[in-house]
Order: sequence, then C-alpha cells, then structure tokens
Amino acid sequence: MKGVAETFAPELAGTRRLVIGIGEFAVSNRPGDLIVTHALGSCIAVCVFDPRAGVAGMLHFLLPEASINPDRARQQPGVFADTGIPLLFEAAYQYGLSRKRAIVTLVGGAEMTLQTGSTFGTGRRNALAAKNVLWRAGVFVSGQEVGGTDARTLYLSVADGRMEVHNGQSYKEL
Amino acid sequence: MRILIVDDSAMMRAMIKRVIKLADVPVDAILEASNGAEGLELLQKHDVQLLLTDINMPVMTGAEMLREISMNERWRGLSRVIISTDGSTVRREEAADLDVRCYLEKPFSPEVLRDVLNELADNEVAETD
Amino acid sequence: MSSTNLPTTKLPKLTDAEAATAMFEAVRAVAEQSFFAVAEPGDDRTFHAAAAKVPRWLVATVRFEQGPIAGAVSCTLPENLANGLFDAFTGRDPGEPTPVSTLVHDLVGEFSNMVCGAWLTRVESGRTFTLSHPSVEPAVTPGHAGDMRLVAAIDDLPVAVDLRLRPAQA
Repeated sequence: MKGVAETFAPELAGTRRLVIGIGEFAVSNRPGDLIVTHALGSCIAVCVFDPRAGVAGMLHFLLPEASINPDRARQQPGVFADTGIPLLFEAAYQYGLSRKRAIVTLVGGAEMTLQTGSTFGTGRRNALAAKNVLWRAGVFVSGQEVGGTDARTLYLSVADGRMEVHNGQSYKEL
Repeated sequence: MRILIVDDSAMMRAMIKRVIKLADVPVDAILEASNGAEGLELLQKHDVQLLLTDINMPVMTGAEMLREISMNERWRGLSRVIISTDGSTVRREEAADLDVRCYLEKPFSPEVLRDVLNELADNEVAETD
Repeated sequence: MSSTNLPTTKLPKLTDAEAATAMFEAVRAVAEQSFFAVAEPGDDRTFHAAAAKVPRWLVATVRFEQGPIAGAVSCTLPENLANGLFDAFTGRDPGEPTPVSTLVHDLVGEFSNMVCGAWLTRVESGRTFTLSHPSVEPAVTPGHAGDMRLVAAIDDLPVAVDLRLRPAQA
C-alpha cells in the first residue's frame, strides 16, 4: 500500500500536485497542495477536510470489503472501503483533523457498462459501503457526487477544501 | 435542550439517539418512550424542548399524543417533529394542523436527521437570545 | 421478482405488476437509506437455490389498514442478514458485545415496518394508514407465498416479502 502524507515545510512554497491511484491515499496540510485522482469509474474517492486544522485528505478505493480478497487487503488495504477509510482518517488525525469538524464528500461510484450492456453494480455497492463504514465510525457524509455512467477526475484543494469534478465533457465545483 | 424520543422500536430510538450525540447538538438529556401515553407521562414530569415522535404505535398513537399536546397551553413552546413511515398527504396535512415543525419520512439517512436537529437547535438558540 | 394472482380483494388502482414494482422500490429505499445495504431484484429459481443454504430465518409481520384495503406484509430474512443489518443500522462496532436476540428481532420488525409503510405510501399517497406493532418469529424455511410474494437479494442474501390482503373492516 502506498500512502502519501507530506509534512508541511514553509520554505517550500508553491502548488504541488499529489496524484493518487487506486488503493492510495494522500493527506496534507500545505495550503498550496492539490490532491488529484483520475479514472474514478466505479471506484469511490473519499475526501475529508477540516477547515480549522487546515487538513485535507483523499482515498481512492476500488471495492467494498476486504473479505473479497484478504491477501490483497493485507498488501493494499486502501483498495477496500472497510480497510482504507480507517487508514485515511488515522493519517488525517495525525495532522489535527477533528472527526466532528470533518467535512466528508464522496465522489465516483459510476456504473461502468460492459460490452454486453450489463453492469456489475459495483459503483452502487461502493457508495453504500463507504456510507456504512463512515456511519460506524460516527462520521456524517456532508455531500456526494456519485452514480452516473462517466468516469471522473477529481481535484481537492488543501487550502480551502474546494473540489472540482471533471467527467470529460464538463466539470462542476463541490 | 432536553429531547424526548417516542417510538415503539427500541432500535429506532437507539439510532436516533446516536445521531443526536454525533450531531454535537447541545443536549442536557435524552428521554425515551415506547408509545404516546408514556410520552405524555414524561412530558408531565420533565421540561422538554424537542419531541421526536413516530405515528403508528400501540396504546396511544403519535397523532393522539400530538392532539393532547396541542390542547395544553403548557406545551405551546415544545418543538415537534414527526418521524414516520407514513408519508401520505393526509398525514402531512394533519401534522401541519398540530404545529409539527418538521416531518421526517422513514427510511432516512443519518445526515437528514442531523440537518433537522441542527436547524431546530439553531432556532432554539435564536429564540432564547 | 415474482407475483401470484391476487384474490378477489385486489389493490385498487394498481395492477399486480405495479404493486410488485412498488414493493421492490420500497425494499430498496429502506435497505439503502437506513441500512446501507444493496437490494437487487430476484427470481424464483435463484431465490430457492440461495434459500436452501440458509439454516435459520426471521419472519417479521406488520398488519395494516389503508382505506378499503387491509392485510399484512411479512419480511422473511436469513438470520445472518438480520445480524448484518443490525450492525449497519446501529453502527455497532465489531468489538461490542453481540446483541441479544430480542434487539435483533426489534430491528427486523422495524425493517418490516419501514418496508410496509414505504410500500403503502407508494401505492396510495393520498390515504393515511395504520400499522400494527411488528411480530417477529424464527423459522427454518422461508415459508409459503402470501397473495403476492416478492423475492429479492439484500447484500447477496435471499429475502422474501409477502403480501396478504383481506377486505378492510366496515
């Protein structure tokens, strides 16, 4: 598992892009940082932001439960909602994120259609799994941009928690 | 703020209590009752600011309890919220006549209840100031 | 999903297929919004194959009256699904003590209560209704269909929802 957590260093000014892939997460408290993830199809990006602590983080997970593939879960816990989301929060707590102040947003969960025209329903399962894990952890979901059939690219600004979601034809701010 | 939850399901009351605690709404106490008659007994004994009640319950329904409450001047300032599976237009109109401030239809997500609680808590503060 | 012909006491305004669709939509809404569980439509063959592997069930029944119609809705769920729904609804931590059966029964009763209410609101939003307190019983089989049986899967486990109708009391 690759988790990217960068320490704030005031002398290193400027915008920095932290790009995460499937099963990865990033947490930062550098105002100039942008956390980015691409190709959010049926995957879900879980974004957290604490405006008072100035901390933001993002996890990109692929599947709902580690029990689907325990071996992979041991090597890459970030791939699964039930093992990845706790890791994201544990890292964010180290930067001073407060559970009660945390603004949590879910993005992704599209239904990607197979050539046969059918879908696995993975996007829906992932969105529900994320909500289940967060509720058990006592965290409310503040917003979501889930469903549809298009893959998304997501940008999260650490400075102010603003998000931009791109799906190829258009974008929207969250 | 003292909150009274009235629902014949202990698990529904537990879920609502959990949302209240997580929502960080200023709460002095959370009281529970399993039907309208028990709810009225608790209202007689305790000073409650917010009532969250189901409709369909044994012994005394939520609608019957709310009618009793609306006839008693003592409870004029009590904020009333219905949490019910009955989403019919008839029931909603009846609720409006009984000074119900919010009608929450089951099933609901925790966030929906949290938003209702935050709005009512803000109103409570505004009315006190 | 499957349905059988309704008896002479039929649902006003709805065909059998419309009633079954409304029932699945109610099940899905309840499963997803309150229990974060995936509900998918089923068929008899898949249901019976999955049901054969289930050793214990819980059957939660709610009686209703809505204008000219009355009856009961029963939700039949595998016991292990009921335990999973309990954890999801309450946010129970796996480290907490296992809940006693009365609390799980209460939860399944509330599930059935919500499905019944959500279905009745869909069937006739202009009429209010009354619901009984749920009764919950264990069972070793999913039993027999009522006037209409909807089979579905919740979190990949077989679920049956039965509707029984009778004329409302005058």
